[in-house]
Order: sequence, then C-alpha cells, then structure tokens
Amino acid sequence: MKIETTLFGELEIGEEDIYSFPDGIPGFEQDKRFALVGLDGLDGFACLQCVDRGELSFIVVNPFMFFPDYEFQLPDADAGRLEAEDPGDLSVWAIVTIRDQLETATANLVAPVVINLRKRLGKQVILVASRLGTRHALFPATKGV
Amino acid sequence: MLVLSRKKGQTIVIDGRIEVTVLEVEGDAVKIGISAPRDVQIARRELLQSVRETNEEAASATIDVGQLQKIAENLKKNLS
Repeated sequence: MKIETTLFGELEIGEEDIYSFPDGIPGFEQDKRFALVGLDGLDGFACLQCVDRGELSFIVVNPFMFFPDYEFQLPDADAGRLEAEDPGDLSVWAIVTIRDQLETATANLVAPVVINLRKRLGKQVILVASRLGTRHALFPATKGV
Repeated sequence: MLVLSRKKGQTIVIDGRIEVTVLEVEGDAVKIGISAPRDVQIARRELLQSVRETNEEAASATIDVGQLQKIAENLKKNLS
C-alpha cells in the first residue's frame, strides 16, 4: 500500500512491514499500526512511521549501538503482551528526541520500543524499576558544542 | 476518588489480588509496599507522564531526512 508521509513523501509499505501496537504509544494511544523504515546512510537509525497518519513518525535508534552498556529485563507483563517466546524474535529501539540539532539529540532508554518481528507486534515498554531516563545524549562527545 | 485512613502496618486490598501496605511514615514521606500479580504494571506517575511528554516532543520534531543524513555525515567526520 502507498501512504503519504510528512517525512518521506509517498511511501510504499508492504503488509509484511506493518507492526501492530495494540496499546498504541503513550501520548498516541489511538495509533495502532507502525512500519519500521530504514534511513539510507544513517547506520543504527530508523523511522517508526505511523501507517494510518502520515504526519506521525518517530526517529528511533538501535540503543545497543549508541549505548554499549545498555541492557534491561523485559517485564513479564510486556513479554506476554508481545507474545515473546524467543529473544531472537525481538528488535529493540529507542525513541529519539531531536531539538534543532542532531548533535544534541537524546534517546529514551527507560521506555524502549520492543518489536516481535515474528508475531508482528510492538509495544513501548516502560522499565518502571530502572534508573534510566527519557533523555540520554546520543552523542555525549559533542555535548555542549 | 475513595479516601481512607490507614495506620503504619495496615493494608488495603484492591480487587482481591493487590495489597497496598503502609510501611513507614516520616514527615511528608510515606513508604508503601505493594504486592500484586506480575501482570500488573506499577509505576510512579511522573515516569509515565515523562514518557508521554518525551514521545510528544519526539513526534513533533520536523526533520528533513536529507538534512538528517547530511548532519549525520558531518557528525561522523567530526567524531572520527
């Protein structure tokens, strides 16, 4: 199917690229279908594009690439919601907030987006017991430049 | 909203499966113990609020993908 998006203009999305988010995403509970779109030349970045509202998208990053020490225990309730049986089926992303410049972009590590590639299910998991926050600098080396 | 008074050590039971116990009271801080089935999410409201606000800010950013790629390219050069 073709969808009109703010970020990419017209975008061709196959049914197999669409992930269902039964709970939506906090703040966007009505939006249930997203596609993960790779960004050419941007290693570790992707875009979580809402299928039903072209103007809604999130830039996401592979958190393990930007934060090598990152780890978390997927809470049982979330594993159940995602029908997760094999960790190998799961893809983990962190939502990025970009203000004016990419250099000062931050990633939300306390609420990773977890996608079950096999079951085509996704959810923003909130790690309630974690000390991590919603705004970790993506490029700490350039912080304040 | 239901309002009820409890003393230190006393418990309320919600839906027969969630127990909330007042463990300690000191000044204006109350320490609370909660026992609930594992499928019940328990979170500080500030955290949920913060996730929601961060999502709203992340979604409202208007980014040009081409520009993003250019910036990333420069960034890579600067970092290496």
